Amino acid sequence: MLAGGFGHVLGGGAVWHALWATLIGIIIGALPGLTATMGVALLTTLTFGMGADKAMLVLVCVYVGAIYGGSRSAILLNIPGTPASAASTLDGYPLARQGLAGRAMGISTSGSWLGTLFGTAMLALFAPSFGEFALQFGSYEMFWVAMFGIVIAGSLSGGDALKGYIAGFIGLFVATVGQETNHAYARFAFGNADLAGGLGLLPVLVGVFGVAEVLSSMRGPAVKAVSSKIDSVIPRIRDVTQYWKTILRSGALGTFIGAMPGLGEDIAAWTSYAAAKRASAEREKFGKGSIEGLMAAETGESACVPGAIIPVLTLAVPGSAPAAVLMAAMMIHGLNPGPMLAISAPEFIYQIVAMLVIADMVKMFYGLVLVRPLLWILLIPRERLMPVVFVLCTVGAFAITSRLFDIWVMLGAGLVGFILRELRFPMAPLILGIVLGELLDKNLLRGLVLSGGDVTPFFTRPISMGLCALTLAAALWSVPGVSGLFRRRRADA
Amino acid sequence: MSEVEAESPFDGEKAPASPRADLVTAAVLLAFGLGIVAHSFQMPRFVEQSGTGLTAPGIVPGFHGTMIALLAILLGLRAARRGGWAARGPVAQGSGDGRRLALATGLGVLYAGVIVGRVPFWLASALFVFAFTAAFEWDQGPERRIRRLAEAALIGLGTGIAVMLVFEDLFLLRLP
Amino acid sequence: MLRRHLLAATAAGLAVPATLRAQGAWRPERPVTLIVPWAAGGSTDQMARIVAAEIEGPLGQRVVVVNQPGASGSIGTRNALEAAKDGLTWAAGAAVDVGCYKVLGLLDTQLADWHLFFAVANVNVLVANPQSGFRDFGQALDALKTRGQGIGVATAGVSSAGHNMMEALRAASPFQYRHATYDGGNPAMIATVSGETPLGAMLLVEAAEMIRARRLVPLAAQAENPVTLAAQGNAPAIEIPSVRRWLPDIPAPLNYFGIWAPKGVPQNVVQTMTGLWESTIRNSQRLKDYANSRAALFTPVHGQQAHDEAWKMVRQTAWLYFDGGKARVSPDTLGIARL
Repeated sequence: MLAGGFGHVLGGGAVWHALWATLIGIIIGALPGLTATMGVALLTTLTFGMGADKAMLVLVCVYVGAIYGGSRSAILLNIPGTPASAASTLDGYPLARQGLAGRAMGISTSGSWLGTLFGTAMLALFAPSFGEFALQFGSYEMFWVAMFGIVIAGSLSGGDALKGYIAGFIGLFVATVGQETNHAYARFAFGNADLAGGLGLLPVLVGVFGVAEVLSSMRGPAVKAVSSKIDSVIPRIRDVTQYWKTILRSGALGTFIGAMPGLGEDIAAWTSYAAAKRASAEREKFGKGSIEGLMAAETGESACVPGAIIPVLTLAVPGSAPAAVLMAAMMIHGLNPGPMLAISAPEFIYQIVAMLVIADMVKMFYGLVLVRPLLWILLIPRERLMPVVFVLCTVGAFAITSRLFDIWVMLGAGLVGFILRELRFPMAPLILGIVLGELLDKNLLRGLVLSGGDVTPFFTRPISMGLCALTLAAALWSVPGVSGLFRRRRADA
Repeated sequence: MSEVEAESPFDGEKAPASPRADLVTAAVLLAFGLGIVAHSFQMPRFVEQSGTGLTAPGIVPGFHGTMIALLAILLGLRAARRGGWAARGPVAQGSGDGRRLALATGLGVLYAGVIVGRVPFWLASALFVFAFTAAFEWDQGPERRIRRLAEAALIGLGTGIAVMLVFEDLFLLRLP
Repeated sequence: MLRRHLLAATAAGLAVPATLRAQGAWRPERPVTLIVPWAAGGSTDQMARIVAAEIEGPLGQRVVVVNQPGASGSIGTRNALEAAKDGLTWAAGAAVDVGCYKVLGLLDTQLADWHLFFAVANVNVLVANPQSGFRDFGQALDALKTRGQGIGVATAGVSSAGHNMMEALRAASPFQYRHATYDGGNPAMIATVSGETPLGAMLLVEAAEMIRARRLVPLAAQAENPVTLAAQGNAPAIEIPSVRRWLPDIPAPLNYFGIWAPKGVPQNVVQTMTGLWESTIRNSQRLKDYANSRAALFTPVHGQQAHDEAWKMVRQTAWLYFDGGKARVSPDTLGIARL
């Protein structure tokens, strides 16, 4: 069946399509602002005239490539190319600053490659049961998923947990701006029609990472070359074998989060990162250039891609935003994903598996070939690189919805983000807060509507109970961190 | 990994903010949090439509605002105990830093906030890249300044045109 | 290549688009933007992408779909309204939304302000989870009347098609329900499949696959006559009864989806698009197949006829908003009479 899938997909210039589509995906992913969602949507229109098989192959390649490509700019410039790679800046950029950009990209390539491979294996083996399990996650469960994310936000702050939580709540607040879902009331809009639509994650992300990075890079004293030595560009086997547990855990987490509707690559990367940090023996290296941390984030986000396709195929429920567009493309091409697919066209699932594997291999190929040219970016003096980066950020903020308002949001978020960074507030919890804010808000209120104001379902439904316990455990776990903070304070005084 | 930590370039950047800065920040955040709470409280409750009032739009932002205010108080207390009330901390940055920062900020705001949308995008970007590069490389002394300025102009023009070609032709986006 | 762009950029900068001066057929010299005021992947997005791909060949220019979601679709629609009137910016969506923005106070525009070109018409459907015990609409209606405050109904949000259907049902036969809002028709459909809510109201396109798989029970379609879900693969054709079987007097206007440009665009733009609609769109096998498999009606109407057809649902919906206390202005003052 699987061999049949490969046989069907390969042929008729498939390799050529996979090559160009994955490269386009990587470029879209690496440019700040252009996301996987946008890439897949764009290519949906462009591949309209192709046959359904070829169009799907192109779209899968763009999706896989874009999620991977986002980490290039995260590692080299500290600017995540897509929201999914924000977690990769935490350790990827410190590695690059230590002159290990090539090695960091090698880690990212091997992690991402294994992640997608792992997720694809899950898709091939367990698609139906995974999809059905995802259905068990209703509003009550999603509320706890969001709560869990907020609790781990403090642990992503790299030291000052208090400031991490403050940044997280600022992010949560930013997510509440605009129309809410129950009564379509525009919160904090002050009569402004653009604000009623809310502040987009993307312009804010490009602002607090891109604009703020340009500013803090330019303020420092005159030219100091970031790194002139070109380190090894070939992924090291040892990096993989040493952290095989992290890779498996991140792969499983990423696939699972992908399969859950409403959670996407960004949350997969954060969760994998936080889980790796919890479990790691070298916790103190996280945030300062940990190979394990970067590996976890990369594996998680890339395993999420096949994960997000699982419910598309089995339930016609997209597991992430790019998967939603992929599903729309399937419908436009007359393929009808959903529960009938296993009966009407079971071979299609294996064709998708074959496409994912091909995309993953092509991604690996580019991962090896592109490292050296990408390292040249580090040799460009900042006086010449940063203005170009700023222009790309502006285009990226504008591109997603073609609104000047988003450029202003980027600018405002950049200036506020820069000040917060100067005051040593971590940016990762802020972004996580924006990502989780909507999830928390909508699912809490919806859960309360469904239960008629009764809070007990949040604690008594079996999965809710488990997630609640997990959240409480995570909260308690962070208490020693807080006490450590107090100890350090006494030492300061 | 230990061999590389010695040359970590983050040592300077990771210096914690001064207690005094934290104290001021805490005050600003407290006002911010209380402002959110006040605004949330004034939002309509929609008790009639929902029957319960549990879907009132102000509940969730009100909670976030409360948390920001409470955490700001914690931050303020911590800063105070670390000596935030004492005389001002050391001035962290030299004046050169401030000038460069103001220049980068000013150019960025001028470009993204004012020029983009009024001037064709390729022209705006070319001017911005040229001005940015020229201004920051001016300090490198008079020798080869003409050459540097010419290079800056080329980079600017190249950026403007490349961005236009890539985004409008390849990605089919309409630029501002 | 570069020269062309520089010329185009200069033209844009001077705000004198060449189209204004062009004579005869409209040949756009830059890509046409089609704004979808909803997220990528939704039902409006799917329709818009097919239409875009179908017309760009004969138009001789790319038609680029841009998603501008937010504020119930009013942000994207406003941007199309405020764009230069050169025919290079269009909006897509459901006509009833455009007709009701002014009533809701979201956007100062009315249906008559637009040149309308419709592609498909969608039908709203009320579905039930198989475990809920509801076998037909009558049972569900009785339950809503007697213990409605405890029955959850999933919809795609306030003023979504499903929510409007529930309000129309309630206007015809008073009852209560617990309104659970989701981020779109697809999540609402999933909530009903998973049993989080016993009932769901959404577009039939969104529920079709799950109805075929017997994971949702189709209770009633908001249409004048029964609607048939075409056979597909192993799934036989399924007939969904009309809501009129139980509530004979309820209005059941069609929900038209299409693309539109604000009035004020050059006459040759409208003429060219009308010609395209009469030839390319009317004969589009792709649209026909899509509509057929997703249980939508293929309705390639345009111009005054499109306006008059869509006007019925605007009249119904505007007054539903008014009666529900959501209207900022009375539909009367806008010349919208009760249906």
